[in-house]
Amino acid sequence: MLRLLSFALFIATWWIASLLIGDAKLPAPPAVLSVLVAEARSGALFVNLGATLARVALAFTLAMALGSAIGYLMGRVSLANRLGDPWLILLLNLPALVVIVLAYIWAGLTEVAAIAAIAINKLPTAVVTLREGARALDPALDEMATAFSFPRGRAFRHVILPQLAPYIAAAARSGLSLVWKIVLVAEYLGRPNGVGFEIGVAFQLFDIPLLLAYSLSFAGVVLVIETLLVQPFETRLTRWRLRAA
Amino acid sequence: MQLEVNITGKSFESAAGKRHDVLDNVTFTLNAGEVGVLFGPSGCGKSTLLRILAGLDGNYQGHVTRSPGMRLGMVFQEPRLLPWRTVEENVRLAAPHVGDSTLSALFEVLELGAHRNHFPAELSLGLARRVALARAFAIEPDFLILDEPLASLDNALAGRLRDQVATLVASRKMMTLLVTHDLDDAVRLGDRLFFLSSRPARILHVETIAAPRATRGEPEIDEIKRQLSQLDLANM
Repeated sequence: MLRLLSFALFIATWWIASLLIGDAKLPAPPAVLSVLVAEARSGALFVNLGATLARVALAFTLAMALGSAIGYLMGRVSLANRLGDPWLILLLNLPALVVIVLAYIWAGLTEVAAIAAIAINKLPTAVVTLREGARALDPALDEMATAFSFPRGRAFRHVILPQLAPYIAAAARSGLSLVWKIVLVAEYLGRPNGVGFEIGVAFQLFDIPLLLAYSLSFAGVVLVIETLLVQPFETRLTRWRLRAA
Repeated sequence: MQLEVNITGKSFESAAGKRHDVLDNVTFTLNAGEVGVLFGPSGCGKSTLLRILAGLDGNYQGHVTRSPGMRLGMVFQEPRLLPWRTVEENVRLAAPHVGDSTLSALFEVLELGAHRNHFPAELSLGLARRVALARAFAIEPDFLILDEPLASLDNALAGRLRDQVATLVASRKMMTLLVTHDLDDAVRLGDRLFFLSSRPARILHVETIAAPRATRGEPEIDEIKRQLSQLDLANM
């Protein structure tokens, strides 16, 4: 109910602002909605959203998997940490634009280049978070697992992974928002479809209703994924804490 | 099954780079069916010794010979349960082959039946200790290590838990090593008492109690305690 109210407030603010500023710069909600419906009817909206989502999913999975593994290793093995740390600092501070442009120059304007560039942007934050998680692992529980001769797989699944879970969730949460932001830039600069490409087109044509239609439907998708996927996942991970007396 | 302990020294370096000797000469043998008690002042290195015997610390001088294939059950000073798993899952993860009836019997002795599906954070310290005990017994160990299982519980609770431990220890022919600094617990639960010095720890005195554990009455226990308290351990 409160969410609905806050959504209504957003629409109202937008409408009033468009009346004040004028239709040319900020079209009113109905104008944007009609463009949105037209794009949806032609199917272009879904093709572009789908392309963007696929890129997000691939780059996110790649960066999370690789980043978690590297971060865990760096947190557990001090040699790995000393070797990896300068690279990590470099990657952390490298602007997203540099990575994307270089990827397109070196690998061509290809799907692989786009996904790799997005993944590389997200990778270091996952590494840093998981490294913290691996450093915070409780040695007492490690000892328990050794004393009771837990096999490696069981120890990882039941002793290590639950301790890393909040860190993985944090990395996923911050990483996902980073990927949402970067994917559009990568598409804008070098892909023939996707929300970022359409926004680029709208920018060149100064087609503000189209720009807003894509921006808002993209924001809608992000919201839905956050509420339906990310938040339930976080709740599930911490259910043993919620029940604590 | 037998455990031969022949440790000649153990030290570690502190963060400041200073060498600390924790263990001196500790030599003893433990046989199946026997309960050894390590008795000594706080901080004398008992826990370090246990970690060596459990195979958690290989950095020491001397050697410890364990029978091959020996199954170890360990109750740490803190319960060390997995907070994200229920009581029953905690036990089953350590002992995947435990039968349902064995587990039920164990939970009954330890009065844990009502707590199977609770998470460790929902348990009191006394209950969590009992889960740790259940976990150690569920794997049907050949060698059981109990690191102060009764510490920081009130007298009534500690007494009840001691009886439960005694019942469980008697139910299986295994080597048991108990650490305590309560003489009463030592005399009631142990067959052989190893008195340790303060740091670096060495064995000052070994007291063998001839009477089987189950037959010891209150007068005998008091008599053994009286004799032991007359030992002049400080000057050994």
